[in-house]
Amino acid sequence: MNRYQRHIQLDDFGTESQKKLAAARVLVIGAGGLGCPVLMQLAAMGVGCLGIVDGDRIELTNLHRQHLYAEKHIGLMKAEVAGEVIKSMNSEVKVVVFPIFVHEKNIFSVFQDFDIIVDGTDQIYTRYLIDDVCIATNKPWVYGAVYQYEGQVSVFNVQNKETPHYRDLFPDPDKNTGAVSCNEAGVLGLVPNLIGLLMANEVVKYIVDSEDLLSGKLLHYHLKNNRQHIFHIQKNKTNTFHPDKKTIENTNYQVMCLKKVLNPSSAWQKTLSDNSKAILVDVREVGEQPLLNNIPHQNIPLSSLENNQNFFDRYEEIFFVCLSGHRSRQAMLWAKNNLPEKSVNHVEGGVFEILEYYQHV
Amino acid sequence: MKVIPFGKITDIIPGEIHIQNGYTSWSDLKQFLFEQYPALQNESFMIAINTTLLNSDQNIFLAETDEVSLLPPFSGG
Repeated sequence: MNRYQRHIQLDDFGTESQKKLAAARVLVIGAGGLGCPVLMQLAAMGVGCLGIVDGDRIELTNLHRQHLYAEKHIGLMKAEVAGEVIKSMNSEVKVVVFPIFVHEKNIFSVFQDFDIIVDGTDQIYTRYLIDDVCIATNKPWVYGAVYQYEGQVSVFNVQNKETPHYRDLFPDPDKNTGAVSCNEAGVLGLVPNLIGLLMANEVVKYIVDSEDLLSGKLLHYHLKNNRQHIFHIQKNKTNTFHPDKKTIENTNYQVMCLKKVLNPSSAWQKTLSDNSKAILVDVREVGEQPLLNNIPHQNIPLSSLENNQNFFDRYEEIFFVCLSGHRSRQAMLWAKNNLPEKSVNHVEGGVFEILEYYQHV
Repeated sequence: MKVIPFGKITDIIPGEIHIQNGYTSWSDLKQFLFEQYPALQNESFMIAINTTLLNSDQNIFLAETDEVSLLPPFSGG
C-alpha cells in the first residue's frame, strides 16, 4: 500500500499532485511556533526536500507550542533536532539543516536550492528581508504571524512583481517598531499551530497548482471567538522599490526598521557613558536576537530579576532594555517597587535604539 | 458603522465599537478615534474598509454600514 494512498484517492489530488509534492523543495525559516507545524505537515504529506533554518536553541518556554521538541532537547539546536525528528517521521524526505540565523549576507546562498520560502520568523525586519530577496530571486513566500490569540497568513510574490508583496501590506518598515514578538506579548500554544497548518496548506496549494491561493489576500483568524476575516491587499503601484542582490547585501534591515526619529532626549546615552554606577540591563531571554555584542550591559531575563536583586546593589542608575520597550517597561515598574532607592528608566526604542546609537559613535 | 480593533490595538480599544453619529470620511472618523483613544496616535496600523485594506493615510468616504478594521503589524512566530 502506498504511504500516500489517502491523498491519491482524492479525485482532484491523485498521483499527479503527490509527484509534485515529492519534487518540491521548501525552505522553512525559523523552526519555532510557526515553523514546527509547517515542517511536520509538509514532511508527513511527502514534500521531497525540506530546508530548516534556525540559529536558536530549544528552551523550556518553547515546549508549549513547538511540538517537534521534547524536554530532553532543551539546550540543543532547533534546526538540528527538527531535522532529526522530521527524518524519523518520514525517511523519504530529504532534510537540509542550516543551524544559523539568516541575514543580509548569507540569505542568498541559503535560498539558492529552494523553490518556495516559508516565513516562521519572530521579527519584522526579517520579513522585509525575505520579501526583498524573494523578489530579487523570483521566489514565492508564505507569510504567517501571530499575536496572543490571533494570527494571519498570506502568500507573497507568487507571480514576481505582479502580485502583492509584504510592503503592500505594511509599506513603512520604520513605522512597525511597536510590533512585538511572542517572547514579549505571550501567545496561546494553539495559535501558531493553527496558523502553521494554514501556512502549510498554502504551501501545498502552491505546489500542486491549486486555485484560491491567499495571494493578494490576508487571512486573519481570532481563536477566542473563531472569527475569520479575509482582507484584500491592494498592489501599491507607486512602490517600485525592488532592491537587487548587491543593494540587499549592503543594507542593514534591522536599522531600516527603526523609527526614523530617535528620541533625542534619551537619557541613557549620556548617563551610561558618564556614570560608572549606571548599568544597562537587557531583560530579554538569554541569546535572544539581535545580540548586544561589544556593548557594555548585563543580561538578566525579566523572569529572573527577582532572583538577581543583589546584582543591583553596586549600581545607582539602571536602564532596562528589551526588544520593543514592552518588557523593559515591566522591568522598570518592578524596580520602582523593589529597588526604591535607585534611579530607574528604560530604553523605549528597545535594542534597535541601542544598536543604532552605537553604530554612529 | 462598526470599528474593529485587531492585535495590539485591542490594548487601546478593547473590542468592537458601534458609532451612530455618521462620520462620512475616514479622516473624520480618525479624528474622533484619536480624541476618544489618544494612545492610538502612537500606534501604526493599516485600515480595512469592509474587506479592502488601505493605507491609514488614505482618505476615503464611509457609509453607515461600513466596517472599519484597524490592523497593526504582527510579528510573532
